[in-house]
Amino acid sequence: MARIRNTKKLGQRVDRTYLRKLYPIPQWRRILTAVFVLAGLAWLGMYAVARNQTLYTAGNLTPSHAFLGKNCAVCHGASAGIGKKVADQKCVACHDGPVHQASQTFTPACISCHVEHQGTMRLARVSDDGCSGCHGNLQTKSGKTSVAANVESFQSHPEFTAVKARQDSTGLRFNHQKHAGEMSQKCGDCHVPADTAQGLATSDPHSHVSSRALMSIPTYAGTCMPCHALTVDDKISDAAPHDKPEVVHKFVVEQLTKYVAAHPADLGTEGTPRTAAAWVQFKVAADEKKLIDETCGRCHSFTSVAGSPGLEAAAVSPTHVAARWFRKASFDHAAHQGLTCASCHPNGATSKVSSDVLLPGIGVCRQCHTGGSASAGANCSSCHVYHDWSKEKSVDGKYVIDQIAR
Amino acid sequence: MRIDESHRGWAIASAIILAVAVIGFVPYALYQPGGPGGNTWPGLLYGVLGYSMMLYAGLMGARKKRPLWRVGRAQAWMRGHLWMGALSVPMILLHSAFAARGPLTLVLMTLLVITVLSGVTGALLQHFVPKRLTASVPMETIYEQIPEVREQLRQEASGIVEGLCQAVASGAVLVSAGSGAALATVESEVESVELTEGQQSNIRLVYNNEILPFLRDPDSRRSPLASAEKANSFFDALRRQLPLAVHEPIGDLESICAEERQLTIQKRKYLLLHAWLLVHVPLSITLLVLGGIHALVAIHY
Repeated sequence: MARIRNTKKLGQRVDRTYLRKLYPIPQWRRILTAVFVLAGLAWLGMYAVARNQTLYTAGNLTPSHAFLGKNCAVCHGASAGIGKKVADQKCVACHDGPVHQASQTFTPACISCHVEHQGTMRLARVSDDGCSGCHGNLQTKSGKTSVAANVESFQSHPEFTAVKARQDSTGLRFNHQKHAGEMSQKCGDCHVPADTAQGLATSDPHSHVSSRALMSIPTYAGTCMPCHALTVDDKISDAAPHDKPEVVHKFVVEQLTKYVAAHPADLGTEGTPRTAAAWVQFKVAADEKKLIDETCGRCHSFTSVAGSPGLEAAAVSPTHVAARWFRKASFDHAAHQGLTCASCHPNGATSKVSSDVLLPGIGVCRQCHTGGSASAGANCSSCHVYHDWSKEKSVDGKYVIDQIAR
Repeated sequence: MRIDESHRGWAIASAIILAVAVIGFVPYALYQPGGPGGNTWPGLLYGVLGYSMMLYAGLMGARKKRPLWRVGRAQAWMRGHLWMGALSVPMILLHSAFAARGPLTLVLMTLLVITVLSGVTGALLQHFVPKRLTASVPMETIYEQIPEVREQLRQEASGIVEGLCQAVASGAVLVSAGSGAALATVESEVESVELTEGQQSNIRLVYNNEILPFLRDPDSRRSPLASAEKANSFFDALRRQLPLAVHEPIGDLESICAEERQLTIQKRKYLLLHAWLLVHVPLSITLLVLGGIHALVAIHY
């Protein structure tokens, strides 16, 4: 009779106490579980012993705050808890955050704009939501606003104020077409970037514009003089100074007086008076008329005191050449130096009068700053700064090094 | 557990939860100042949901340890374990806004991915392998009992061979296998048969040199008896050398060898079915412990 291997017989093979024993796979499962859990706890423990909390970070801090990463409580406070955010007091312990506008109806918390734990990024480059939250429907304490009241994004930003004005009241006469068109001068022959030494560019450490952000104002001495010397008369070898009318008048009188003293034979010639004093007076009147009409007058307008047509009583109409067009925003020429000047200033070579506003309109900016993912930055903070840094106050330090960089 | 029709409810519920979570994430991601993240209220909600799902999945281990608890059927727990465990991944991804920004969160994310991948591997193995195991190992036993069963088989085989040789001496074949154990006991009296001393010696030689080494190390592939085909030829050859009367005990020896081969197959498939647990269980418990610490610290700050 052959072996019987039915279910009963197979079942009888089993030692029924087997459940009480621990076999290899369950045993190794327990061992490995203990090893992994203990290794994880040991890892956390090592950091805890070193009082280093960087393990728990929700993301890398910005480089300027990275040294604070070991101690969460520096910013989050020792009494942090669910729903509690970093308090403004923690930020202003190190930074003053001047108010945006005195008339603003509320002041957002620092962290609502400056979001940390996002890795390497500029904390000052805040989201547009923080701006449009108010400027989308601007309310002020006084009920009056001096800026557009419904700006949601760069696409709904109004035209630049200077462009809307359509008139540049420089008080000067200048023909761009003559210089850049007929004479083929390059823009850079007259317009060069300003640097901080000229006091035109900002030195604000929180500003993201470079020290070469603005273009310098062309000056007579630095730009015009090589071609436009202030020649007075063939009897005066030196050029007149580029100065106030009375200074120029004094220069002309002095030079002619010296000349006639050295050349008395010229008295009475060509219909001039025969006495030196009268000769000087005669020549001054003629020379100053020429200066007013042709030389100085090529660029400047004069207002003269009645009955005194010369420079002595004349006054030059005030001039104002803008170095900074945006009063509430910043623009960085250096960031745009890869473009030709005419790309943004297409009328630069055709404008004939200085009253033309050659500042590009916002439409020119929107060609690149479209706001899409493949766009040049179109955030509010690309051009605007929230805090009025002119009101910045110094901070009284509260920490010692061990507290913040242990 | 097979993934079949019985999972329909869990699958639909999981798909709805996932769809709601993803749809909710879109406006949250678009309009949350500073962007989405675990430290926002919606992000925290996703985290709580994800961790709860992991905890539920983990509780199945406790449920297994307490089979008498009246907390639902084990199969329902297993289905929940599978679907909630899988769903915890998208929940945690939504919680973290698809980024692991710190060392601990990176470790947690890695643990989660490995745990779930090992779980999916296990689920697939549990779906396909048991059916094949049943087909290829009809004499399957409890895995942990394989060494004991093998010892019994060795004793049974020795008993058969001893029986054969004693029968030779007394002129009758008496096969008493099992050595006293309540196993497959076969007593067979056959007509008297004359086995020559050569045949007797041959049986002992074959048993000691081929069968016994195989029974002692049945997992080794070196023995010809490790292969069903070669074993057939081997026992056919042995039968041809022996009188018909002893073919039945020889057949028993062949059956014992076949059972050993089945146990070898069972061992391999058992390892295939359970080895992934050596990754899945330790990592999932580590994940739950470290995840809990992460949650406590994150909620505190």
